Amino acid sequence: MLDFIRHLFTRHFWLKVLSLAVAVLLWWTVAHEPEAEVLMNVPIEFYQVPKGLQFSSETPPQVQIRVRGPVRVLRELAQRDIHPVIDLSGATRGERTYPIRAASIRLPKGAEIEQIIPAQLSLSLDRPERRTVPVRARITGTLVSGFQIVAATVARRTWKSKDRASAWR
Amino acid sequence: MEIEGPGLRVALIDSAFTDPVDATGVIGSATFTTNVYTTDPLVKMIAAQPVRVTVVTQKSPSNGGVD
Repeated sequence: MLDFIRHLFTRHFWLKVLSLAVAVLLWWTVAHEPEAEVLMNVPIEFYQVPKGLQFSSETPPQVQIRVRGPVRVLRELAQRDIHPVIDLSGATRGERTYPIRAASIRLPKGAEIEQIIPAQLSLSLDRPERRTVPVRARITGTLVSGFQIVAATVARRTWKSKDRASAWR
Repeated sequence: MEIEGPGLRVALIDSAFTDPVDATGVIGSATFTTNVYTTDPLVKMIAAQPVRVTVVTQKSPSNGGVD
């Protein structure tokens, strides 16, 4: 038994030492890879938007995320892989602020989120409504000397509306 | 023109506007085809399509141009 164990360590001893050295070198290279940060603009995903409600605030379509990690990981990181999520289930009409949580964003191993800009979004939801409004003509240019506009009408096939020109520049 | 959007935003819209038409040199009347828009990007127009803008000019009375 002792011979077997001794044989296990001593047979091709230098080959084993070389293998161990190569393994340590590989580990050291990966473990001590330089770190970097990238700024990424990524779109927000809204989950469970209540039916019958619309956004009534102009939300930024993207947020900026600072990701830190090994250079190799960051180079392989694509914007499509990162999805900050805002869950709107149970949202009602009105304004409310939603935090964008780093925990809701999945990242590859080794990468981590340093900062999210903005850290929260203020959203307004409202019911859609319809209304009929008049159409006003915008007129530009230089009139012939001595002439003035007496009427400016806007029309299309299905309706007609007459409005005085709202502007003359 | 019928518009649709979030209730609060729709309530703030008084009117829709045409793209500017250039009336330079118009004597009598001229008709232009142009598009209509609302100033609020969250408010859309139902069945938006080009419109005709007719501009009518006449001599200004102050210049003795009475017909």
